[in-house]
Amino acid sequence: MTREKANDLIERYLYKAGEELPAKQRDDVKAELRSLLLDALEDRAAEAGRLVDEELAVEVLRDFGKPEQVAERYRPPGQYLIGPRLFPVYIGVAKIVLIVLAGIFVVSVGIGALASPWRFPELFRPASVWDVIESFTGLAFVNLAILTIVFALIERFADTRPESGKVDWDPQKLPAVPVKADPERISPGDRIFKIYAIVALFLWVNQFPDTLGIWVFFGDQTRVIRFTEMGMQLPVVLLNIFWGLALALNMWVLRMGRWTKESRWAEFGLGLYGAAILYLVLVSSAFTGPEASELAGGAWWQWPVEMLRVARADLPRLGRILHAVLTFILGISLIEAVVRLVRILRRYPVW
Amino acid sequence: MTGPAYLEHLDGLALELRRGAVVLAVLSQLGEEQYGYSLKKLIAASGLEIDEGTLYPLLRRLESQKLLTSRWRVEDGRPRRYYKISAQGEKTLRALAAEWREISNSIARLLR
Repeated sequence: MTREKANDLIERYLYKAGEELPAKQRDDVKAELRSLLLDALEDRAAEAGRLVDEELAVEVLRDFGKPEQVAERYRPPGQYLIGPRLFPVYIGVAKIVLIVLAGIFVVSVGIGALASPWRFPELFRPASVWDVIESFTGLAFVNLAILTIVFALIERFADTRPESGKVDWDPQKLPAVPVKADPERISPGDRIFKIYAIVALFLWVNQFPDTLGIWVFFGDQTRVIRFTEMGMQLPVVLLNIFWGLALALNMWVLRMGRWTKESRWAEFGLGLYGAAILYLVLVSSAFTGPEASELAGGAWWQWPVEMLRVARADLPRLGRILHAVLTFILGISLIEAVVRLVRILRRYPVW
Repeated sequence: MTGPAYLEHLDGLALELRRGAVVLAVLSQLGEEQYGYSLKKLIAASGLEIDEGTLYPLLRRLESQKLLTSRWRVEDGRPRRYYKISAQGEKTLRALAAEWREISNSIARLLR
């Protein structure tokens, strides 16, 4: 029961509140809150006729309210589809989505241009350029709409807002200020991006099965080389279960704010399930055609160009390439599963 | 409605009633520089208790609306943020005070 303990409690309180404050005003508000808490603490000690101690600090902090509530009050008031707490994350994820989409389009247009028999002037006719811009804008809008819906649902159901009104809470249960960064702490943006990707993939596979494949732009034509045309079987039910579980896991971790032993094990199990689905796809699909290396006389950087030439003439031949890509992804998934298992066992020893 | 639910509801209504008055109380006491805690005590001395969770964020909000100015000052070895009413704040205070008197008179007549 010393001043040091009281100060430690206040620092833990400020750390917790700081996590919830907008980055721009975090340090300034924390500095002001520190001076206000110390003023209140000293005043209370003087009134009680004793020295500052942990018990008085607990009383002062209880009066101030939970750190999450205090931080919430420093945010602008109002009703939101996406609240101020999630909005910066939303903007960050939207930027990533647009950059990734733009990247995919640049690569697709590039491949289309390389494979096209047309020369430079024809490729950049206004009609061709307009077609690409139109496709990109459409896809960008659809993706932003899905992203907005995902964020609005998280805002509504993930309960990221602290309780309102006076809440009974115990300041002594505040976590210690970490000396170094917590490796299990999550980045909300990262989790939300994953949630968005899961929802987008779910909708894509279930609502637009005809567009599942490799999108390629040939000048003013857009061509989708469907995975099914390449002999691939998609176990949609198993995939939907996978996405449902992945969505639940990400929402849970987002809500907890950090990984726990249980969620790490769940992630590991889900990874194995995903790898099993991939294996099933590989063994159940009738991939046909020559080896990828045969297509372009061995030079791997010529494969995309060759793929398109083949795509025009003989679509099922692409199966071999798809098979190789899926096998590679399966290998990566299994390595990732082993890495996850080692990490879990090192962080949370079972014996 | 009875019991704790009623009391909570009443608290909510009272809070709403006080919300506007708190802005007026704060502006009226910042003719001279005050830091958050001293302002809370100053207002409490006149009988109006304002919750810390309401007062301190309100000071920030009024400052962002250019009704207050603030600066950090070190006093007794501790840095504190001091607030003072701005010219715009004084103009707003006069307008709000007139509005308040008008409302207060009307309500007094209604409650008679």
